[in-house]
Amino acid sequence: MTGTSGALLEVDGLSVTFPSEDGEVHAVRDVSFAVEPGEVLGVVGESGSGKSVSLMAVPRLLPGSARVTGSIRFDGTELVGAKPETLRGLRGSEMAMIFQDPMSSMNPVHTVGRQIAEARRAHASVSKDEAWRDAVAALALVDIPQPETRAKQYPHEFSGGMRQRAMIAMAMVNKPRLIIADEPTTALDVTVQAQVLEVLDQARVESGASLVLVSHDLGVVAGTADRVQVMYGGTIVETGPTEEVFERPRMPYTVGLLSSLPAVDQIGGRLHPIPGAPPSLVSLPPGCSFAPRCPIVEDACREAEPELVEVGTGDAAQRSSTIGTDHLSRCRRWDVLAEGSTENLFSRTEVPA
Amino acid sequence: MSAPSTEAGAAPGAGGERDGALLQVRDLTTTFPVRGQGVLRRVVGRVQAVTEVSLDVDAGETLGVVGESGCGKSTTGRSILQLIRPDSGSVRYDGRELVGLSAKEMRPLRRELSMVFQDPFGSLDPRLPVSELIAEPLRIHQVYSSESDLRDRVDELLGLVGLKSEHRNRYSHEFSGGQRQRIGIARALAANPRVVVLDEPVSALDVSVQAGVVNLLEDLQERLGLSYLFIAHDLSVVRHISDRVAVMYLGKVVELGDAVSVYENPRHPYTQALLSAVPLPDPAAERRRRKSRVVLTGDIPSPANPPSGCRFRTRCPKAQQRCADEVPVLRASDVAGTHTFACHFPMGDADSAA
Ligand SMILES: Nc1ncnc2c1ncn2[C@@H]1O[C@H](COP(=O)(O)OP(=O)(O)OP(=O)(O)O)[C@@H](O)[C@H]1O
Ligand SMILES: Nc1ncnc2c1ncn2[C@@H]1O[C@H](COP(=O)(O)OP(=O)(O)OP(=O)(O)O)[C@@H](O)[C@H]1O
Ligand code: SF4
Ligand SMILES: [Mg+2]
Ligand SMILES: [Mg+2]
Repeated sequence: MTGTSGALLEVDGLSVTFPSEDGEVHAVRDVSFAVEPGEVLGVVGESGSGKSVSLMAVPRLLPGSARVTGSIRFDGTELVGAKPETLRGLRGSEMAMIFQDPMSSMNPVHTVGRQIAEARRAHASVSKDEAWRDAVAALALVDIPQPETRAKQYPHEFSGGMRQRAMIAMAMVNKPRLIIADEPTTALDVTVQAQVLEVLDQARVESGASLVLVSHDLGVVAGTADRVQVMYGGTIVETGPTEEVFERPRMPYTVGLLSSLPAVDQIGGRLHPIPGAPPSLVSLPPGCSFAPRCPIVEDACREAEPELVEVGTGDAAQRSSTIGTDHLSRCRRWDVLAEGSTENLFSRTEVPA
Repeated sequence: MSAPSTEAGAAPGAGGERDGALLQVRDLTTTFPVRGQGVLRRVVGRVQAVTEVSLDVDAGETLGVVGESGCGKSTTGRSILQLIRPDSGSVRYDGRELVGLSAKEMRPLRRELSMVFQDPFGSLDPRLPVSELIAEPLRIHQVYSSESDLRDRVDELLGLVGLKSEHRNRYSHEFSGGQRQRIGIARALAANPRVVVLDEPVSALDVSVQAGVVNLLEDLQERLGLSYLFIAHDLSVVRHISDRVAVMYLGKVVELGDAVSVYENPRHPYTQALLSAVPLPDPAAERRRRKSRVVLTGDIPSPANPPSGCRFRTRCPKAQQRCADEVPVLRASDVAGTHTFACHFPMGDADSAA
């Protein structure tokens, strides 16, 4: 949407549907975004909103039943409709994926070291010994203790968190230009999480790679991403510089998400999920997909899906500057959020405690 | 500060062990073989995944378990439910010893003791549609005699975890990560268990859905008196949901007590390091915190060859000779004995009791 020609990854009008017994599942609807070289893009949003599917479409790792339309350009090369060899050449070398599900991307019958070494050899002409040394070094990089010993073990001998770090090691071994990390720290405790983020960041800074980071951990996103993109109901509902979106959310869903967090110092009491349920991706409502749960919905919201519009009022300094904030929201009534405090937006729909 | 000696004398390992708890775990120890190279892959050592863990979970209570990756949280949960056979120790559930029961003897108890697995991907049979995945425990334990009651219960469970009836006929690989995690929760709750081990049950959920699931777990607990062993790395969620918290390091419980007490007044240096690492959901504050946080230095020692004395000593800022010589035992932090820790030189205790 920034449409900058210098972007490493440009996704334009991406839609993905799956057939199902109950009708077509519109998992991703008209998603556009760009990632600049060296940039970190955070992706947050409702569970089931299309974060993983939209990103798995990039290296074409979706199941065969998926129908993908739109355009995905990596360093200028169109990937939608490209030959399988083109993608095979990019995957694991130029472009690395770190998945939510570490077990599925590891082969249970080979040692962890062997799998990483093979990933290395698949894209570089190095000897077996060199590849093994690279694999051990990659494990050390993600803070796997005793990497020489651990490299000789099988995935099931690793704890959940170690498996996830091994995945990261595998992804980093070929020094990719684009890293797509889908919940890379989900199974990690906070101390290791801090280390892993540091490792990812360090590797990224060193190689100048771009990072797309999907995470439910808003703290992780807050500390890592330059820009953040919020997904709901299969599409982007808000996007902008991280501080802008966290401090001046202009979409009621984002406001609700931010206020569902348990405070670090909170013991007991009720948490505050956004009341209501996400839309069916089989039969979407005609208007704003958040309308059924929105505290400030008006009739017009239910008629047609709102467009993503510039809401980057920012603070006074930014407002007067000529550079826009690139803060976009898909809410018709974003100005209502801009006028008042967003703190108690959802309280009127809450059952009193 | 406190007078641990008399308290400890009155109630050994107080806080961890309380008489009459629904689930009583004593000195639970689980090891895994370490195999050498070569075709035979001979056993050359043992990973001490869980070492002498003692804890209690009362009816209607939530015990949170936190600690570094690989410290043995999942192994503890699985060993309690006899999904892994512990080497030694005792697990008493409702007065009955579980360690040593055969698979057949365990079977009827499985309805009462259930588990949400850490890996929502590997633990769901890919050949079954979600409706059957959730119905499976109900069929095994013959909870319903009529198919329509069974169907209603499955729909009810789907709704409870925020899934729709349009999801009934889909297979597990056709769901998002968080949706799969919720299928695992629905499955674990299906047959109305009494004790549930929840291993990272909300790690893949956005905070809003996560809040809904946490509220659901709390409602069920209130209504049905469920007991939870809640394993998670998210310290805010653990603090929110837990009555008591156990902190593990390299296979051992190093601190255990009232959630408020452990969080407000951590005594073990490891607990303190862990608490200081929590990321904040505010960009400016988080970037500041990252600059000033204390990242633990040093490698996590190998659980196949843990350090002598206190297992944390190789990374502990307060370690002294005594820590290498003497294994610290859990001792009471307060007079009531609801908070215990295993450290020779605890935090907030300059002249620590010898
Ligand atoms: N193979 C499939 N067939 C049918 N529907 C699918 C398939 N794969 C995914 N979906 C649906 O597409 C939607 C988007 O899924 P996706 O995995 O992208 O969600 P997500 O935003 O990553 O969620 P989470 O945060 O839970 O991982 C979900 O509602 C999911 O149920
Ligand atoms: N089947 C196994 N064979 C050999 N070693 C194992 C096995 N399962 C676990 N381990 C080892 O036991 C130790 C404890 O593992 P466990 O999975 O209990 O950790 P955890 O605390 O749950 O970690 P995480 O937070 O990463 O899930 C680790 O060193 C792990 O590598
Ligand atoms: S467009 Fe309308 S329904 Fe949608 S979020 Fe904005 S106010 Fe709410
Ligand atoms: Mg996902
Ligand atoms: Mg685990």
